[in-house]
Amino acid sequence: MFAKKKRRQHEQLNLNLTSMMDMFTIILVFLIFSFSSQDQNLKLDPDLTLPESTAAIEFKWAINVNLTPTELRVEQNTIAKVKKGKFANVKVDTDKKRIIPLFNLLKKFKDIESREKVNPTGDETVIAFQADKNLPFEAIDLVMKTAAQAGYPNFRFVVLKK
Amino acid sequence: MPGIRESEKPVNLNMVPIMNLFLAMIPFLLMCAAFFQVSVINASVPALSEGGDQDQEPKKELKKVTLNVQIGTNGFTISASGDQSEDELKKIGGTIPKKNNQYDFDKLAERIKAIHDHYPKSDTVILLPGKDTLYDTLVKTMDATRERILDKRLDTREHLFTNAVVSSIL
Repeated sequence: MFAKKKRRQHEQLNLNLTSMMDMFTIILVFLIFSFSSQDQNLKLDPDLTLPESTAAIEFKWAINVNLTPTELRVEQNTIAKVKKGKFANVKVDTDKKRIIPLFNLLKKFKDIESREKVNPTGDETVIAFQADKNLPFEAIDLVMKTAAQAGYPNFRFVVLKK
Repeated sequence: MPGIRESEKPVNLNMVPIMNLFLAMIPFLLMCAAFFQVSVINASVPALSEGGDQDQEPKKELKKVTLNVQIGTNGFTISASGDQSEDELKKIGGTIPKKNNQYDFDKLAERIKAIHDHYPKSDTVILLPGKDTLYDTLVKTMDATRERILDKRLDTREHLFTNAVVSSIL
């Protein structure tokens, strides 16, 4: 009786890992397919809803300008507040159609760019523009015109692939 | 006989190294996984250009037009500019009214395709949204004018007016 008990103690416990391996394989295949090698320079703004589009051009290095329903940001720095689709508490030159703080900041970027290589791709620097899909064109136009006057007339509208 | 008994024994594979590998790969892939894909649309605003060689008369491009799409409160208004005669340019233009109070993007895409078929060298469209036009409407209009998806599964597209210039109505 003693010998039987001892044998039972030494018996190896074999876990059946087959089903777990199956599950891991499926997860791994799914994750490999959804693996993204996109430029990490783009940070999606959680405060805005991007429009959907059929566009298939990939993102490249650019200056991030985000226009949410409440704020205008350049590279995560708040430039102006937005209220009901209009800029609030910020100097706007209505004749020249430019947002003064945004113009000054982008002009500074342009000056730095003329002195040293900033864009790692070597291409012409453009603006990656993330805007909320429900904003009126009036606000978007003002941002675009300001950027164009500061020396950035080309944009990449960031959208969600349909 | 003992040989037969040996071959009947189940072979236990050592899964532990594979499990370790999987456990290392899954968190890494989870961090890099994109659950929604981001894309971009190229656009520009009109810029003043310094006048080129004024002495040389520009070559007439009869297979090319520049399209203007105005996004108004009642729908789209299409007009064109180019080296063609005024009558010919007038024929290109037209209006696409709203359908059930919604912009008719399908009809716009159809009209744009027909114009592009007639003037295949054309690639520039000037979009003129009204000040209350939503950004979403502008993006959808850009989609309708830029390309036509032939096969969604194979991702084959026919390029139409790929050069979009966004301006405002004065």
